[in-house]
Amino acid sequence: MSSILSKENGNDGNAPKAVDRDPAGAEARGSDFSPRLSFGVPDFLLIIVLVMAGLIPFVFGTLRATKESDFEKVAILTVAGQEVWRCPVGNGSEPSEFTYSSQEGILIVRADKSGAWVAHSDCPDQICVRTGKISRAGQISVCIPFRAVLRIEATNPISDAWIHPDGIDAVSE
Amino acid sequence: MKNPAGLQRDRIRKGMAAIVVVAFFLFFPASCSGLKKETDATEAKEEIFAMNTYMRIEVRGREAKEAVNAGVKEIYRLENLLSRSIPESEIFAVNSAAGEEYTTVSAETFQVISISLLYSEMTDGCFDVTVAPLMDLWGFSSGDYRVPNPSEIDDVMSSVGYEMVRIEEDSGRVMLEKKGMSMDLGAVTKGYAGDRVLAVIQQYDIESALINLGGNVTVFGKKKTGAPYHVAIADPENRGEYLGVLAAENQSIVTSGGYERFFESDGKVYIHIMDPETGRPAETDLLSVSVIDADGIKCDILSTALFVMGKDAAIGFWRENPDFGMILSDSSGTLFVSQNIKEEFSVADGKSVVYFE
Repeated sequence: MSSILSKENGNDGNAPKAVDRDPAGAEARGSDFSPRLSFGVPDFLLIIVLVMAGLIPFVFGTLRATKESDFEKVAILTVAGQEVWRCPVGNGSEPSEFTYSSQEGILIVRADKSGAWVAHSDCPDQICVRTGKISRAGQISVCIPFRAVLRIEATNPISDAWIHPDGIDAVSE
Repeated sequence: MKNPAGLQRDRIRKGMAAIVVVAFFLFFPASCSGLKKETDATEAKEEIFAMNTYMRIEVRGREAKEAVNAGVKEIYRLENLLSRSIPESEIFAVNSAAGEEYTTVSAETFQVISISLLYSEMTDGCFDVTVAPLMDLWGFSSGDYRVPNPSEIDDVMSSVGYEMVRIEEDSGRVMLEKKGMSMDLGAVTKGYAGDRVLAVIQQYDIESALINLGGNVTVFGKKKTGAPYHVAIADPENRGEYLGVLAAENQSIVTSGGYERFFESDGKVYIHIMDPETGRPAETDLLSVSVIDADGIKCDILSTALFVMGKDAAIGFWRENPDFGMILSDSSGTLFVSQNIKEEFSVADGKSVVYFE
């Protein structure tokens, strides 16, 4: 492969082919031995290839974001606004359990590849437990007595294709 | 000296190089401008527990942080004004003076009470802020749930009725006629708070906002991508799923149902929404009611009232007042959606839907 900027002169055996095919150019070089930079078709093609290669992450990143199966999510438990536990949710994620203790008692949350849920709470109304498993980005399960919020978030920016089931911003309930 | 062919070849090469350089500078700033646009507008959010629920305010804009702080402050202010359980609140004062004397309240509290009474009349009493003694009787205020006997319900019902709330507009005074009466603005306050928070944050330089007050959702503007906010309606039969998704802009979306707060006794379910006519938890053919409108307090009140009414009466009410959006979910799993939000509301797969007008 030729270099992008190759030094052209009569002693250079690796002179670009375009120059070799051009006797008029060779004659011109014969009368002018001063070094100069040239730019050949292969160089141009190389630049195009490199530019396109550089765009690959952007192009595939955009495509990825529109595929539902590629959405990676995370379950996050916050208590009084402070994050106390985080667990990936999705294909390949390992089941996980976390127990939070306070003067209210204990709160147990679990997560697996399909979602996260409050498995047990010592709160009186049990609204958090009844909420059951949450799996979509934006969904929450709240335990008021513990001031705890279990939330599913997409770790990648959510697609704005609004019919996408994960592309919600809030739940009216 | 170069011959003409050599000069032409050089010109071609330089031209190609120029194209590459120009293309680079065209594409690169274009891709960066998008990033710059995102970072121009700052984002801020705050989560709090207030009004006995979880609340979250998200704002995007140059003064997002200031706006969020002001919004949170407004929520606490309203809670201290309108809560029936805070001894310093104006509602606490009105309840304490029930059957005895008038209480002078602020113009704001007076307005919230007046609007509540107006909707009580509009809905033939399906919405009533004086059901607080019933909430206490059934244990929904304390969490000590129980099924009272009929005579207990009859006794308490004598202290329930919006007609027994006296208001004097000129003096801004309020009085509950009978001792034992009590007002609970719980079904109004979050809706009103949504309106007030929106008004407060709009005083700042902001571009969009998402206000979620315990499932009462208010949205302002569009997301940074230019898309509307997407608000899902919870499926009362399967909390992990949705009935559908609404593309919303400058609207409030409020849903009422008995699926979240309830208790069971002898195999029977008792929900937290009281029927002011029977003194018992509402028994209706609806599982949930969602109301969509620019007026948050209206959404909050009507979602409760229409749930108590039941499906046919709710649709009848909408036909007489078709200026808001309505989504009903009945006990057979069918959705009834008002025609005026058909375009914005995307029904979840597998749900049967009937559009009415």
